[in-house]
Amino acid sequence: MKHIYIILFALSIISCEDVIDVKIDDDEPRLVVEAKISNQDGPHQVKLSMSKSYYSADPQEMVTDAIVSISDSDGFTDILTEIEDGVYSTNRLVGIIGNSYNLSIDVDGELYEAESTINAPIKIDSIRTEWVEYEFWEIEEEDDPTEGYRLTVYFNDPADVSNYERFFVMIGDEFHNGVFSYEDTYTDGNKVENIFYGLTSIEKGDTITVVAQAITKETMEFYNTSSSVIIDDAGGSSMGSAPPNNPNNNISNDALGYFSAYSVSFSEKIIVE
Amino acid sequence: MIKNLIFTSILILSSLFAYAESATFSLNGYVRDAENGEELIGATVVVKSLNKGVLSNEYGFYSLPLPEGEYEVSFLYIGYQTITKTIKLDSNRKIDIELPVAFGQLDEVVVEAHSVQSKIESTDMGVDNISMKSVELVPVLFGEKDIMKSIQLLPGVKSAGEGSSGFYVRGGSADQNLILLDEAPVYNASHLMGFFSVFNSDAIKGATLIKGAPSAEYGGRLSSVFDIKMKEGNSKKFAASGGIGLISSKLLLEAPIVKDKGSFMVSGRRTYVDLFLKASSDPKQNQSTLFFYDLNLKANYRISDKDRLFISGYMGSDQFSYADEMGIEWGNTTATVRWNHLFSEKIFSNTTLIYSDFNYSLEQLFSNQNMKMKAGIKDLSLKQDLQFYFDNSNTLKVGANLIKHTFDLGDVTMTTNDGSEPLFNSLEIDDRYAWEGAIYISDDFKPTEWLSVTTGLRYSIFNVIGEGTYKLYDLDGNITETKEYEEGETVVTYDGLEPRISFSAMLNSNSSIKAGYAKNNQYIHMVSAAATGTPFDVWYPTSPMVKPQKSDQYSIGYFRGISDGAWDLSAELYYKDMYNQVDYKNGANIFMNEDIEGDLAFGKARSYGSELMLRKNEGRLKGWVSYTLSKTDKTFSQINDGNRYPARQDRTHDISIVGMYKIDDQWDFSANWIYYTGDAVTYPSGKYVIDGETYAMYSDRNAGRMPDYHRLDFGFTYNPIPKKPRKYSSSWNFSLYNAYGRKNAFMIYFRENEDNPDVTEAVKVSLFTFIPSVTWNFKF
Repeated sequence: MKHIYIILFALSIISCEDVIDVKIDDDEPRLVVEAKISNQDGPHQVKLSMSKSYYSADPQEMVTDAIVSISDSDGFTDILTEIEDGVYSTNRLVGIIGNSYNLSIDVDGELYEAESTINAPIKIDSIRTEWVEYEFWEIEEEDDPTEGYRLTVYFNDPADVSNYERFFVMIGDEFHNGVFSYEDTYTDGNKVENIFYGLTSIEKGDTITVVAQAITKETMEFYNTSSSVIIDDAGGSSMGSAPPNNPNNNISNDALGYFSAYSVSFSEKIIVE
Repeated sequence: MIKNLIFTSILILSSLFAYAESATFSLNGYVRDAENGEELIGATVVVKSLNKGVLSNEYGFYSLPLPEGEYEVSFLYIGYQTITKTIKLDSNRKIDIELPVAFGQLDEVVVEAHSVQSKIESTDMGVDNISMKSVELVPVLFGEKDIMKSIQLLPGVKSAGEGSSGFYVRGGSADQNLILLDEAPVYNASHLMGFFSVFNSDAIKGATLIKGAPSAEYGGRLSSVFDIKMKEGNSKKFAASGGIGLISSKLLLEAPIVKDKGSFMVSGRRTYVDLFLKASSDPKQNQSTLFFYDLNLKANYRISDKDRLFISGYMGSDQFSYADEMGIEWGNTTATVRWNHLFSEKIFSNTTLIYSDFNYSLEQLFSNQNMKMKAGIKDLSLKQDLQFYFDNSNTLKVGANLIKHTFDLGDVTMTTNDGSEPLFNSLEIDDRYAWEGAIYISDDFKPTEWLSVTTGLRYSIFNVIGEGTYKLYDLDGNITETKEYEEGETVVTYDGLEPRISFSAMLNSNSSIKAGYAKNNQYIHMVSAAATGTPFDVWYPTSPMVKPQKSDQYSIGYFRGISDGAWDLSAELYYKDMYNQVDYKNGANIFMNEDIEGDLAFGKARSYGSELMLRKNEGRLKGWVSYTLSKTDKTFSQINDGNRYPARQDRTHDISIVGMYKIDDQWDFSANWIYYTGDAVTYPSGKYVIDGETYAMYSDRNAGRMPDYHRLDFGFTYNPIPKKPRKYSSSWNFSLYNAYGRKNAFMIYFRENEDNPDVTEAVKVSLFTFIPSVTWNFKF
């Protein structure tokens, strides 16, 4: 939808913005689940909280004393331990590629369930960096640099299987902006290159890591349908198109959030020039 | 359904019996403008002694059957002098009349009285004739006169948004309006985000908007018919007119081909915002384009007294590019060839061949990867209409048409600048093909002096043909069945009967009550990538998955002329049920999606409301006040848990006040004020945090409201009268859009507070406050 934003950008010349009080009818709070399991070393965590009123500035209320368990397709069940308020951790469960996992949550007798599978990762071929002048839409803040590094990641998409990946960049141990989702709808079986735009804070000497998470179709759908409802400082939601709604997810009983099983591959590079 | 059918057939048959009775002569001919030879549509031809009259049809033709005798016949039209002739009728007579333009106001009063009278008597409900004179006086955004914006000031017609030329009629969606330009459908009537329509007012003769029960000759859309006619061209002498405005310039040339036998008109308009871009020092900006143009052409020729040929065409396009990185282009092309033939004084025939095409393309270049998307729709159709003037109180219309639709649902082509293998695969969504046919019969008759009836029946059929792949989907959007079809093989056929009936009963000499019912079927629908204003609209045919939209509309109204037509008042109530409506499922992907039919939800909608209008027709001050109170909601099993929810265009109150005041012979003042309830939109109902990001929570669809919209515009027109007569005349138009600078919400979005991300807030984006404009128009 980038082209529509460009037209809106052109319109912004004659438009003006004001913060207003819109009357909002808050709904009953709903359970929010943030649950992940991967083929990396455990423990894996499940976070439970409650949604809150739109205009509230209070911290999110965590859900304590829930009974949380994850069982795998080999028949093993792990009952998670609450390590801090609303954060539940696995004890012995190991994520294995090809296995599927069932999450079960009991909050005061209300039962919530989800299922997800760890798919095989793709293999990153190489990373290329080049020094470029940034396009106007890559620069977020006014004092961001106007030129800098741009990064291209190369990999081979396995033919005839649907692949869903989430890529992001780490500088050292720090998570950097520039997450992007990849689906092979148009690239099935191709040699693929994906470009990371707007990496304005990479410097010479940095060690960067490109991480690829192979996620499920359901998790991809969650991310795809969440972009229009995430409230950030730029405000991306409600730009027309289809009416906004809660992201499609894989958890029963109207809970919000997701349960994502995934595998990880990564490639490292030190910026030398 | 069957009951309706029987009832309609009886009415048609009973009116057919009426033909046989009288042996009368026909007085017929054309009514034209004396100055330029343009045919006058809807001119009144009246014989006072018999209290009989008829209106000229859309080609300016009238036919009035009368018994032998000598009559005083008057020819009247708003803004023209009335001509009264004594005509001796002892055989069929063809009298063509040319009416001179009125100067004083006396003539106007008489004409208005007649026009109001015929409005009260006719069975037309929810019908508005839009004259270009009122379009010229209404102040508009950037001074671009626009017929699409003028109709938004009428009751029951709602603007699709700030500055938008899109409109909703009686709760219907934007794709339920049939917009015709010289009989050719226009599939996307917007320029530049919808702020301007494709109809260059210079080239337009007039238009009719039908929002109630349309006559059976129209069909194919549920909510309205907006029938726009282009000018024919001056058949007396060469003439030129034009204008220079803030954002565009226009020029129109017209001349006889052979004097009084044929003429042509050519009119062009182009905007020039991009010329400012050329002046930019930024190489990317000065290589960018941003403009639109329109070209209208029309020619007509009288081959004989009985035959007349018209050719008209329209071409327009928007071009928008940013250096060589991005380009968007969209536009319509229409062409119409018409042949009017008089089989006899009482039988008028019109044969039309129509072509219409809308398409858009979008190109984007990322490093060396070039992506091009395109989609569109193309129609070719043939239409035959016959009008029989059997008796002055009985006009029968029959006709048929056949359309071949080609739907280009979208292709994405990937190429590279250096000929290397593109990184992305191309995507080609199958084109779709369909035949749409219809036959109709419609009859106007007066069983008694006080009752007029229009009854009609339309049968429509839609045949989707291959080649192509068609799929069925379950409620979750998963494919359940896939079937390939050969070229020409029938995929699915839908058909339906559409009965229409309306009555007008005179209560006394100046008031009437009218009632109407209409059924409409619509076999195509539009999927739009944004709420409004973008060119990325894709038209889809019905399919095994998507059923035809249908509607039943009932309306009743009271019409009254006050002080001999100086004022008129109308009040209408309507109720409309719409079936097989289309909306998006939650999380639908609507752009270049092969399986979009799996992302659609189907349900029903209803709309009801009341429309009031009080109009002042005479004097220095003219204008109207219109008020609409209405409700539109939808019920979809997959949306909002199957509960009823308001449609986006559900606006409880909608008010327009329009005034035009003649200050003196040189100055006119006009003003309008608009108010409507904000659109129904979906606001968050809470929020939550995942992965450190704040998400808005949503519950009921369209449960929130945009802030109410209101705005005042005014304008002055100065027509200097030269001291010495000159060959040319000119006028100035000054206007101020949104005169009190109301910041109306164009959209509302939600964001984190810059200083404290824990606080989330709502932000209103508004456009256009205090937009002044000036236009200079000339004519010679």
